[in-house]
Formats: sequence, C-alpha cells, structure tokens
Amino acid sequence: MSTQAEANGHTTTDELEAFVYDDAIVRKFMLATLIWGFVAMLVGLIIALQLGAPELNLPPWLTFGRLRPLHTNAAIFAFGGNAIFTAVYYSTQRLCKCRMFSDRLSNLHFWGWQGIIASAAITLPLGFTQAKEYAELEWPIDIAIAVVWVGFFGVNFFGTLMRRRERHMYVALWFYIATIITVALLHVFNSLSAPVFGLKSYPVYAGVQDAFMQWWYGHNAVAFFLTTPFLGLMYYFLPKATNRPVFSYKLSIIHFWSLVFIYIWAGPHHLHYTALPAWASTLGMLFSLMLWMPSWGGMINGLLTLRGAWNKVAVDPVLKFFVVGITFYGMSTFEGPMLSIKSVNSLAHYTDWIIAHVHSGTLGWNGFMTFGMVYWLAPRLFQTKLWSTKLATAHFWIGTSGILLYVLSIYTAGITQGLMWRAFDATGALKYPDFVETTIALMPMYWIRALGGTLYLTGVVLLGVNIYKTWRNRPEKYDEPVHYAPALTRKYEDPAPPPTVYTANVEFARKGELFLHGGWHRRWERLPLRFTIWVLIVVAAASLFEAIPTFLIKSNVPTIASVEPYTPLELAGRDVYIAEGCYNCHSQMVRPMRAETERYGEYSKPGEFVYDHPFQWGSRRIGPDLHRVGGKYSHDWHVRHLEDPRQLIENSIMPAYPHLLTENINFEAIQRRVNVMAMLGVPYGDALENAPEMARAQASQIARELEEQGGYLDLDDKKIIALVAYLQRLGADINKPIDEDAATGAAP
Amino acid sequence: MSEQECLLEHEYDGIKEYDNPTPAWWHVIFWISIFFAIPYAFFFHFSPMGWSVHDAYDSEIAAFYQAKFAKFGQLESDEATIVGLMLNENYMAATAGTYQVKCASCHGKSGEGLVGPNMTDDFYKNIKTIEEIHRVISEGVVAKGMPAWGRQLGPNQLVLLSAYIASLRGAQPLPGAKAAEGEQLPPWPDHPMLSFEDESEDAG
Repeated sequence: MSTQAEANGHTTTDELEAFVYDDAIVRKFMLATLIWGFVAMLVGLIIALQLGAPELNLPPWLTFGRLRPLHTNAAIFAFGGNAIFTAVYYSTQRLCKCRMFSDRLSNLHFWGWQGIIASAAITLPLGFTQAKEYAELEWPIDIAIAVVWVGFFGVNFFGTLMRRRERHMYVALWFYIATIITVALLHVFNSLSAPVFGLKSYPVYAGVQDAFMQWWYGHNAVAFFLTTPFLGLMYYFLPKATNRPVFSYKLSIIHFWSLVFIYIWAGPHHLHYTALPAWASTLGMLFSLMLWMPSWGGMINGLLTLRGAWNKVAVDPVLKFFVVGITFYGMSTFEGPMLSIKSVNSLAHYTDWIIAHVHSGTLGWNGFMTFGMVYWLAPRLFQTKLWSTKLATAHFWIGTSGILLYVLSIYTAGITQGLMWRAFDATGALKYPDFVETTIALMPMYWIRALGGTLYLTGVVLLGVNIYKTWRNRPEKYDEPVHYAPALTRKYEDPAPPPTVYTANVEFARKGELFLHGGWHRRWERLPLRFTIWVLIVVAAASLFEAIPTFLIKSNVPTIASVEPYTPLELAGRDVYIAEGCYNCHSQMVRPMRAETERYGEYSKPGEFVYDHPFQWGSRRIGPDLHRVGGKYSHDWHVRHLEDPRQLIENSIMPAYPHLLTENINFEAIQRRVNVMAMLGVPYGDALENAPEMARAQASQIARELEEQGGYLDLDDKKIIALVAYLQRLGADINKPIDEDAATGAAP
Repeated sequence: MSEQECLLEHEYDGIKEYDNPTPAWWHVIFWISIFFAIPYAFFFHFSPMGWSVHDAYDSEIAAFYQAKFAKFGQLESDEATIVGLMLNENYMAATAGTYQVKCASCHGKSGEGLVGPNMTDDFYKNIKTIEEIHRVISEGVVAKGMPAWGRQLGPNQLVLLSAYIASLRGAQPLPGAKAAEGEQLPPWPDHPMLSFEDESEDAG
C-alpha cells in the first residue's frame, strides 16, 4: 500500500478509515427529478396548446402569462435543479471518497428545495411575480433560495471537499464549484429588491440597468445552472458508463477556465438593438463568439471519450442518451454564438427561433443527459437490474423524435415570423401590417410543436414506469457497502517537475514550459479553497468589468425632460400588467429598424425607462410590441379587447381577462407602492401624500371618457381602469408637447 | 503516440484521464475568435469609419423618405391637394400601408368601422369638409377615443393619409359594416388629379 502511494506522489496516513456513502439522499433527489420533470413538461405542453387554442386559457389563474413562468421555473430549477443535485450528491461522495459532510444539511437541502418549488407552483399562478424571466419568484422565496443554496447545499458540498480522502479534485468537482459560487452571485445581485407587501417587491435597478442585470443573470443561469453542472455530470457519468478514460486532461483545464471567464460577459447579446448602450452590446457579441470553442471543448472531451466504446452505444440506452445529449450541446453552443451576431439577432430576436434554440439545449442536452444518468443510476441505487432496457430504448427514440418535431417546427415558425415582420411591399409599406397575420401563419407549426412535446412527455412517462418497476424489484434492505481509505495528511510534496529541454540559464523558457505542462493547476486541484477563490475572482472580475460602466457612465442613459414617473393609478396598472405576465408575450422595446418604426412608432430611447422598476422589455413577441401603444387606441377599444380579444381581432390568440372588469383596485394600497418607488429614487411629489385620491380622480376621469366613447359604465374602481391608464401612458411621454403640459392637465 | 503512453496516473472512483493534446483546429478557431474582437471593436467604436445601429437606421429612413416623398415637396393640406391626391390611384396604393398599420385596428381593414366610425358611407361625425379630415387625423378627437397622429406621422404622410381616408368613401357596402353615424355630407368637390412624377423626373 505505502509503496504504491509513494509511487503516486501521495502522502496519506497508514490508518484506513471506514465510511458509507449516503445513497438515500440521491434516491430522493432522483425521485424529485422525475416528478418535477413530468410537471414542468406537462405545463409546457399546456402552454403550447394554449397558443394554438386560446380558449384553453382559464383566467385568472391558468393563463399563458402566468403558466409560462411556472413552466420555465419548473423546468430549470425543479427538473434541472434536482437532476443536478442527484448528480452532485452521487458523484461528489465517490470522487472525494467521503460521505456527504452532513446528513442533516443534505435533508434540509432536499426538503428546502422542494418547498421552494412548491411555493413557486402556488404563487406564480396567483400572479405573484417580479416579472424578470427565470427570476420571477417574489422576495421571501428569493431569500429561501439563497439560504438553501448557500447555507445548506454550499456548506454541505464544501464541507465534503474539506473532508475528502482523495488528494486531487476531479474536473467534475471544478464544474460543481463554479456552479455553486456563480449561481449564488447571480441570484443575490439580480434579486435585490425593495419589498412592498408580503409577496410584492420592486427591484432596486430600473430600465437599462435592470435589463443589463437581468440578462447578466438570465444568460448565466443558462451557463451556470444548465451548462457547468451538466458538464460536471457528463465528466463523471460518461466515463463511468463507457468505462473509458476521459479524452484530455489538458482540454479539461483550458475549456473549464475559458468557459467560466468568457460566459459571464455574454449576457448583453440578449439586448442587441435595444436601448442598452452600444459598447455593451458589442462586448456581448464578441465574447459570445469567443465562447464557441470553450463550449465545444466540453463536447469534444465528451464525444472523444467514447472512442473505442461506440459499439456499446448501439446496445446501451444510457450511452444513446449521452451521445445525443452531447450532440445537442454542441449544436446549441454553435447556434448561440451565431445568434449573438447582431445582424442574425435582428431577425431572430423576439421570434420562436430563440424558443427553438433554448429547447434544443434543454430537451436535448439537459433532458437527455439527465435521462442517461437516471437509467445508469437506477440499477445501482435500487440494487437490481433495470426493469426494461427495451422500454428505455423506446424512450430514447420517442424522445428524439419529439425533440426533432419540436425544434424543426419552431425554427420554421421563428424564421417565418421574423421575415414576415420585416417584409415590405413594392410601395415600401409593410407587407403584413396586421400583426395577427404573422400569428396565423405559425399555427400549423404550433400544432407540430405540441405533437413533439407530447412525444417527449410520453418518453418521460415511460421513464417513470421503468424506474417505478425497477424500484419494485429492489432488495428488502439496501446493501450499504463499507469503503476504506486512508485520511489525507496535511503535508504533501509535489512530484518533481518533468525534465525540460531547456537548461537552467534559459529560466524564462523553462518556466514557460513548466506553465504549459500544468503542474501549477495540479497543485490547485488539491487546494479547494484556492481553487474556489480563483473561480470567484474570475467570474466577479468579468462581471464587474461590464457592470461598473453600465451603472456609472452617465451618457449611457441620456435623460429626456418630458419623461415623468407613472401616476399612482398607472403604477397600480403596471402592477396588474406584471401580475398577468404580459411581458411573456409583449415586448416594450421598439428597435431602430424601419420595419419596426413603421409598425409601432418611434424607436425606444434609454431615457424613457428610468422609472421602470422592473424593466418590461420582454424577450418574445407572441403579440405585438407595446412600447408605443399609449394613445394609439381608445379606452373603449382596450376594455373590449382585454375583456375578450376575439371581439375585435378575430384570430387573436391572446387570453381573455374578464376578471379585470370585476376585480376592485385597492386604492389605499397604492400609497405604499408609491412610497417604495420613491424610496428607490423615483421623484414623486404630491403623490407621496395623497396617492389614493390622485388615483381615484384619474380613474373616474378615465371612466368618464370611456362612457363618452360609448363604452362600459361603472368601471371606476376596477382593475381594468388602472391597466388602461398604464397602457395609455406607455411610450407617450416623448410625444408630449412640453409647453402645453399645464394646459392639458388631466390627460396623461 | 499510443494511448497507453499518454494515460495519466490520475484516478478518481475508477475514472482515468488521457493527456491528449487539444485538437489544433480548436486552438486555431479559439484564437481567431479572440483576435477578431480587436479590429471589430476598434472599427465600430473608435474609428471614424464605423457606424452605430442608430446611424444605420437614420440613413435607412432618410433614403426611404427621400425616395418616397421628395417628389411631393411640401404638400398643402387644402381641399385641392387632398382631392387631387385622392384621385391618383398610385399614391393611394402607396398610402394603404400607413392606413393598415395606424388606422385599421379601429376603423376596419377596409374602413368599414369597428370601434371607430365607418368611413365608407356618406355620413361623418367630426367633419363638414374634406380638408377637415387632416385636422381630425392630426389633432384627434381625444374625448371620443380618436388619437392625435400629428406628432407621429410626417407632414406629407398626414396629407396623403387624409386623401386616403377620403378615398374610402363610397366603397361597396361591406358585410359587417358599422351603421352610419353623424351627418350626411355632399359629395367631395371636384379638382384635377395631382401627379408629381414628371417634375421629379425633370429634377432628377
């Protein structure tokens, strides 16, 4: 024993310590993965069907605007999250030759996370939302996420690293470290907000800065929640399943560090052609292009690890899932940089192309890597054979067909709609001036997408049956093998550096060669604290380089004199807009392109959003942009349209919102909304004292105008009046005749 | 080099690692993507030759309106001009797009009326003469829900759109057309058709 240890350059104590892995917690996380995966995909299927058949929207709780955040949050944080935890809890123990640091923390983590998911599933349909994509959950839940992630998961993971009996950390652990550190940073800084009520808050950032923070978060949620932990998963489970060595340790090092450094910068590519400053947009594009190879490093290391094992792919469903998963990772990480090129983005942004891109990543990469892992784990965790390999293979083929139907139809939909939006006729007028024409054109694709989603969900049901049957065959009592390994000593001497071709007097060249040899990195791999600090420095530095100028340079957001805060009633209406999740289908950002200014009006300026806590620029135009909707329609039109869109637009797919005509505005509560906004720096004058009265006065003014227009009566105190007030204000300030302000008075 | 030679001594839970070199094409593309950034950022952000998305937009708009409206000069919003433009089918066809984007959602795709009044019949709520159409479009009838477009459309666009609205009168009764509202007006006055094409060719 000792001779072998010395030969490896290891120094360990002679005494062997006994330990048992905690697989019960892995079984729990795996079960949660399957249950939430089914729920997330079922909700996804429901909202896909709602796009084809708007009558499937059941207001107020089950409309597209409220269910879509439930779908995204459940898919990312419930399905993806539990899959990550399954992988981390299984592999970390084995890579560290150590039980998890604390069984109590493991269980607190598990139940805390499920509690967070359950509270999301309740609050989102009820309309409690911060209206920032994938960060919708309200502030008490945000706090719970930070506690569970850092306090339970983080402490438990790093505690395990400290107690490990394996000298060096394997590449999977590097990716787990990057995940835990960065997700904590992203979540905390994007979620900073001022509470208004128990389940309502306003973010501290506004407009351009809020948009920047949100997509710094949003893009890196993709990076550090859906990429790095799944690469860690791949690095553990793929070599285990193939029984082949990893292709290249060098590549692991270089693609790990380049990935964590470069990913952070890429967020602004979500905001091309918007009011974001041009330099940030350029940084977003250039770093996204640089990200191509670091991402592909993971794919290469995965696919080339399969060398010599391709014959197994033909028979083993686990490897089938891994191969297709990694291939989808490669495709979507090529597509991402391509979409970040400004001119490509100008076509793709706001269309279904982005939805297709995302789903090739989530269904293909995250889903299939998870399924492969579950099929590999099930026999080991339940200590019996997998119930049916045939059924698993059927799942693979049904799932793959599902993804293909889904993404191909939605790519077609995205490109079709993007081209229709920008098409001009011979006279230079928009060829499809009526937005709904571009919606109707997508209907066949929407139904094919729903079919693809149904197939994918069917595959998940087969997985559930297979795992259930396997579980039924488990032994009476699980065997808990005892493992032995010596503890690590404090002292450790690095192995001698390899001989170099340079002599000592060419010190510079010799050092360079040693650097490239990577001995320094090998050292870091046994110093978890140092490794973690370097990860933190890398991601924090990259973040600050972009964030500091965004917040500090005044010229980023030139002020516009005529832009004023929302009136108290409009603010309340804005909160109705947020609660209904309107941002899920409507952007508020007219881009500087003739096709957009013809359709919507003047393009959006950064100074117009300075009072928008949160920003509502949106990311997908299932319906038209709303930034210049203020003053475009009569109150009467809005009320009839919101009550039932199909009264006015025959083929509209927008949900109806009849409840807004019956639910009352809580006028007294508006004061608190105004006061919190004022605390965040919005200059409210008189409204600080008498917001309810001001809101009532404006509401009865609008109700009176509505009556004159021949519309509904007696809506003075209904939510719809607040929402109409907000919609009529949208984007109108820059057209306001500044001198006549006082004269026109009441009409905002 | 055989595989055995580059297998490292690393082992974690049975997982081993090769020390294979990263493929050369990987390095080549990675370095290209890094070096591409420097001239790109320099050209667009620090050199006088670069342009912003707003510059590109401004020149696109300028070129478009130059081509579309230069020949009109500065259109008057009087009776003769509106009637004259109305009679020119080419100009009306070219204005249809503006109507579809800005007006159709309330007045119907063919002017048959929806939330807003029907404009295909002989009855008008807010005007007595043809040139008043221009005033209604520019200033709106805000109390009744008609927005003011004066600040959102260019001066020539407003005159052309007024002519287009006038041209809708007398279209065949459409199914689902809104009932007549307001007063019946006498037919639009007579004026010769206006055309600017020859002048623009001379100028060109």
